[in-house]
Amino acid sequence: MNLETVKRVKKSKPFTVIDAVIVAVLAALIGVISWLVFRAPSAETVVITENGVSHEYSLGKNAEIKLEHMTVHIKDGYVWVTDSDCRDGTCEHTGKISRAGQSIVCLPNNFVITINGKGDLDWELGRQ
Amino acid sequence: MKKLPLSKSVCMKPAGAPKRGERNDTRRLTAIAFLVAVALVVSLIESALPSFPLAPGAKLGLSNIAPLFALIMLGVGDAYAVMILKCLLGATLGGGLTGLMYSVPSGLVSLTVEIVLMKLVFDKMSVAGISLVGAVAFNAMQVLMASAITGVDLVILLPILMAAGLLAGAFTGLLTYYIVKKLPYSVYGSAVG
Ligand SMILES: [Zn+2]
Repeated sequence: MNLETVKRVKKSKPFTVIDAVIVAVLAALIGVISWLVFRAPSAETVVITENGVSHEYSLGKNAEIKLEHMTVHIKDGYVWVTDSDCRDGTCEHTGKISRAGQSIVCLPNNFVITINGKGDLDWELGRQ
Repeated sequence: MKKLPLSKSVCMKPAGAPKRGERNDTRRLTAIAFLVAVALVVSLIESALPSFPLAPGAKLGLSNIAPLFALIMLGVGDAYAVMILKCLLGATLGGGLTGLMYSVPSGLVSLTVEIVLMKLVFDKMSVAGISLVGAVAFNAMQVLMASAITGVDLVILLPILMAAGLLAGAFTGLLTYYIVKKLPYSVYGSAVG
């Protein structure tokens, strides 16, 4: 009773141009979703320790923290340091960190920034 | 596509008075039962194989050939019948009740997407293209259902399972296409004619 459809399928091509367009659109969608999912500001926190004293900030909340020796930027899940008055500049050269476990260290100022994460991706996937 | 008596009437058919020839209905029913049986056997074999390391629950989904095949060969109602029976019996055989809560809505959504595409854009879009869209919808729906039911945020699996669905759907769609293409009239003519 569905002979018409069967005939059309038999005559059709295995792949078409529209398929390619749809695949491209889906791939882009998957890309955007992965970006959103993997960038999500889960439960990660930024711990700034200066001379043994710690302060905690949320990685998901943008902030510009002006400190005595430097400025710490938290923006869109990334953390970095500018305007450091240290001699070596290692802390600024570390660049942007974004993943749990990464840290920025400034030895001259006895200063450490670490990202702590409960929502660490590797851990999340490893657990499955 | 011609309007057909819905499969519901076939499945729940009381002993009497089918509108079409009894011979025809019996053959359609046999075709549906055969497709469901094949789908179940394939599912069982697949569930015995190890799943993809990064995507728990991701399967090639070869059993999804059955509803798609039913959609092409038999029609909309019969495709739904095959999909629902496959889910119900699959749950009885292994998945359990929780599996049913994910698989039935996902299966219905994915099949509906395929039916709409088949009606609207088939020829311009191939069977494989339609199948891969349906598979992506199936997997996305399954992740969302699982997240909603378990309360665990599984959204991290969404892109992985969508990508897996894209590949698996293209594969099963292509396979369905070639089966239909190679199938001689002498085989299906009796079941659909
Ligand atoms: Zn420094």
